[in-house]
Amino acid sequence: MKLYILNVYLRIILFVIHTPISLLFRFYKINFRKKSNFTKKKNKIVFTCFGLDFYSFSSFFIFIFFFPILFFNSRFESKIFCSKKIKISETPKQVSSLITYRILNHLRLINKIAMNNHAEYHFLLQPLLFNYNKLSNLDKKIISNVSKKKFNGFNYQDYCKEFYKNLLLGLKQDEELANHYEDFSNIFEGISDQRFIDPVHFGNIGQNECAKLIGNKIMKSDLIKRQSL
Amino acid sequence: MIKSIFYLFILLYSLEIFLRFIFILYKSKKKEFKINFFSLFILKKFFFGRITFYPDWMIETIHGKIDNGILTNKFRFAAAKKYLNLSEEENLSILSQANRISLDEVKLIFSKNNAFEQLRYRPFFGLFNLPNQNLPYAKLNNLGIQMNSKDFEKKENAKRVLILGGSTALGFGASESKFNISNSLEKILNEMEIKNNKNSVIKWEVINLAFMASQTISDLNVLIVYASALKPDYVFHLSGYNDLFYYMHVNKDKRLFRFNGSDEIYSELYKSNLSKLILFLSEYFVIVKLLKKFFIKHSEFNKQQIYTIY
Repeated sequence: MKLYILNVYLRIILFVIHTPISLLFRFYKINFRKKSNFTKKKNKIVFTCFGLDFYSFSSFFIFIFFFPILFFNSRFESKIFCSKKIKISETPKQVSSLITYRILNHLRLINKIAMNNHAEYHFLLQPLLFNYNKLSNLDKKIISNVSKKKFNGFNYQDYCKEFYKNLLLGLKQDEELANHYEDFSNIFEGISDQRFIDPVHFGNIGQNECAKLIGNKIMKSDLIKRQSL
Repeated sequence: MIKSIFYLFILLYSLEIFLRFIFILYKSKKKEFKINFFSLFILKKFFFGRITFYPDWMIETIHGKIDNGILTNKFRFAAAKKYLNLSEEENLSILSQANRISLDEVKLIFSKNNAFEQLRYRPFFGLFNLPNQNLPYAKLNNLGIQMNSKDFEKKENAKRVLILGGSTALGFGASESKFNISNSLEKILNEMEIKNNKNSVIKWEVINLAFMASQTISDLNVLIVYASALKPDYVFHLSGYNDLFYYMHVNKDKRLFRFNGSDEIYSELYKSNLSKLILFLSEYFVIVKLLKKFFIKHSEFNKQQIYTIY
């Protein structure tokens, strides 16, 4: 927007003021400066304005029309002649790979911090309604409404599915995290009762079922540890 | 003089109304909210109200300024209903079926002041839980975390499980705090312990460090702060979705790391008083909203500052 204003301003000055005046000067052979400044030993100041010395009318004229650029430049801190921003359309694959990369880095660090504190780390990929095949009527309604939302021409559901797919693949292939993750994204598969209240949150029953799965995992791991001691 | 002021006022007002009309049309085209053309000219909001369309409770809860009685009749899942495009009946029946409670109970539980969680900005975390809250789905202690044990230090016979994550891990959606993930897990683990060994002296403690809208980078910082003090045996991290959600639901030029309400915090941290005033007025006047783009300086330096916090 700011660059656009500058661009328009410069073009107006160029086409409306400077070009006609320079043409006029050329056609009528008007020349204020009969001798070149360089030939003179001492420049004769024509006049002073805003505390600045002007050696010719044309330099004053140029200054008058171009000094707002200085203001714009200092005010907006933007390059006047820089190229326009390239618009990148973000496809589900692009977005998912970017976020997966970020998450995997964070998870590796969390794992290391947990290890340093002598704790066992497990990442659980949270349940998501879009990953289910068997759905209740209300779930279907939620999905149909949410999946209508579009980003860059793609359904939001596509972004979610692609992201989960990519993240699981990343976790599986990661040496540090391969044994420290669990896919909880479709733990309610095959249950026809209502579990979700929106695409990611679930009620009392869902939370209890989720807790049971975590509990089993902890107990299993803890019993192995106790036996080894 | 008075006449000219009056004409100026009329001119500005008509310009404001015209711009509001265009603004609302633009927003409705983006499907950010539904618009009824016939009610447009009767609406109080259209002529005088706030033009930034998000519910008031969202701002109040983010800044932790809930006065008594303000949210008594407000339903906690009203915004979710709007987002999911459900009718009121459908919204209530989803909650009652998922929690196995009656429709009246749903209304009663999620329409109180304490049904709305209050958040407080904490550097490196984001908007963390305000301490000492008694939410329907979670009881938060004086540190803003869920912890049944009053002793912060770990006992010899205790085994600790830390839970990290966002709202799902916090227990959002449960009708009572005893049914949420962390409390259910603690109960299950202690039952299993006794089942495995009746003479066992081990006591399981589940500490929930989850908070609303948390992303993996916040969870990392939370663990750095609390891990050495709490000495956990297991760390369970239920997360993943928020990173995608907050990437998709913010402006394209602000996507490095954003969380729920980060725009308000960004303005509070880095803006001058004049900018704050312009930002405040821009919520009420489209003219100021347009002028905002020219008055408020957005340098690359300031943009990067918010990211370095986390």
